[in-house]
Amino acid sequence: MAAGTYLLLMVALPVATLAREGLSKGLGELGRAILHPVARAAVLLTLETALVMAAVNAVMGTLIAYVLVRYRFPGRKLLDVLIDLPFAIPTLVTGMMIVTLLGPHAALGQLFEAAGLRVVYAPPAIILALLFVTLPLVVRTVQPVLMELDGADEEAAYTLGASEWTTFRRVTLPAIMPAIVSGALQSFARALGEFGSVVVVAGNIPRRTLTAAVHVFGEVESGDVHAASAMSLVLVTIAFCVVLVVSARQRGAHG
Amino acid sequence: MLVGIVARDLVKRFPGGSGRAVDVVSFEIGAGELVALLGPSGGGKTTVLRILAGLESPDEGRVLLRGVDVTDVRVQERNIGFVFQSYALFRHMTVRENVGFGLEIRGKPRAEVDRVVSELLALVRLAEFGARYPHELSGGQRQRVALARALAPGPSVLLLDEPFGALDAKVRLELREWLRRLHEERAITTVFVTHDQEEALSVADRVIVMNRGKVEQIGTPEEIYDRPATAFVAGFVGSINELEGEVRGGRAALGSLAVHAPPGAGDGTSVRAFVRPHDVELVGVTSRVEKRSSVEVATARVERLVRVGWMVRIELKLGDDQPLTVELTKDRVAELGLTEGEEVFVNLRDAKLFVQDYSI
Repeated sequence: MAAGTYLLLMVALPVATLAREGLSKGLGELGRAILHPVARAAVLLTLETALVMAAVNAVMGTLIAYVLVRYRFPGRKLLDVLIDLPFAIPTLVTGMMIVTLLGPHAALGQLFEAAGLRVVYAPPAIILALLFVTLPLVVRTVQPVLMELDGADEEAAYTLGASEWTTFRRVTLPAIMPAIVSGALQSFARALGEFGSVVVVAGNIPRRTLTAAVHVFGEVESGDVHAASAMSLVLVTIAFCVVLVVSARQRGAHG
Repeated sequence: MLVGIVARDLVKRFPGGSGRAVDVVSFEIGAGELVALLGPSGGGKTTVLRILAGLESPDEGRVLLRGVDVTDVRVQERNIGFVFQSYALFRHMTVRENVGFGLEIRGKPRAEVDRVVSELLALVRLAEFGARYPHELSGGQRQRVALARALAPGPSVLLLDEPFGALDAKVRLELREWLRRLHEERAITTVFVTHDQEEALSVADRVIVMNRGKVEQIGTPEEIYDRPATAFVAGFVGSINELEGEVRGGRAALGSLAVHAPPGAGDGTSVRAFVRPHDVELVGVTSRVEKRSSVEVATARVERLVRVGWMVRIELKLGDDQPLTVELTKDRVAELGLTEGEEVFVNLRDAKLFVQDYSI
């Protein structure tokens, strides 16, 4: 009962208020606010960067989890602890680190610039920032599933004549796939609203490097609460759908 | 006899482990033989099995399968079937897909895979379970799927690691019987690891007893049981009574009991005797029978009577406080009128005697 009330106050009430604010001028105005070129570009950029990040995360996170679980090497424990570091670092600091490392005044940044690739104040920096802040998500969902597999399944495949690659593709991957997808979806949802690191590295140029979350912040700052609410509603809706998919998948996996 | 498996001077150390997990192990297994690797857990028997399979590489020694040195051949190319203690079934595959896996990855045509899978599922009596997933099966059924899967690619050697360890007593007995029959039908060289002496002695043609990384004895179940080569084998196989004593006047005195001394053991040699529960003769309750003239007959007190089905385990304490366990049928116990706390006459029919660790 208390838990229900708490949830209602902490989650449902703010979301409902947001919906009311967004719809306060009618559906037409809401549509106009969302379809405004700057807003539309922001949503598209957000989805694109989050998608690329989720794909990279799915592959690299799985690889890291696999190495952590299956191999024994010096420094493994340290690496395992390091995985959680991005969650502990304030996201603004993450943004600062990326700018310091790859910004126009940094050696590495100049190197990329010379090669014709702009990183900071461009979409690649947004993806980098998102990758950093969501790094633990795939690793930490895949790791326990891999540990549960305990290697016997893989050994069984070897004794049946399967090569390492066939074994990974046919035995290991299908078993950890649900976890990979869950982790990737979670990082995707997390990335949609990422603000602190993105606002520092993106440059926030409307229609080019302005993400949805930063756009909301801008609208709030300039006093356009309706536009901010409209964009927020879009973000909430997408995030809610992702959460629904994740929980449906988890229920499916346990059922 | 054609040789199926040869293990030659195998040695394996594990990083961080103390000493050798496998300590110079050698044996030969004939083609078509059914052999048990018996020993306590941590005795190195699973490691030996994994070395035979190629899942573990030995630090020293060679492995030969059907006369070919496979020490440096990868597990994939050894043509072995392996059944894991945990079954290790692929959980995202159906029973049919699991059994067919080894054939399918070899690129066998669909029709052939289907035919072999159906044949094996019939063999393990799971024909109607082909579409199920492993989590929908009982432990015994999973074990049979694991066996069918291991057999599907037609291995020349079948290796089983504690195959019945995780099953309940009834299913265990069934599967043992079934493994025995399967072996008779297919005559595939089979090695299974077990810590259960009854399982080893009742299923295998020959038994290799291992302890602390070494082979203690290799022999038929009869040899292992009747003529244990070492004190360890005597203690591990069938005996639960262990008595200490020494040779006096040509006889081994074990507290208040005595048996013939090991040949060549002079007076004062300390001996260990292993006595099977059914090798203890319970002459009768002291108050009701005449003590026989024989010097071996000693008195003991009945400490506890434990009924196990139609057998009764009688825990005795000898005059010198050494415990002795006897097994009798419940009818015999009734006939003798045994109750706890009573004094009885006991005699040893047989005992396996060892001077230090040398066999008689």
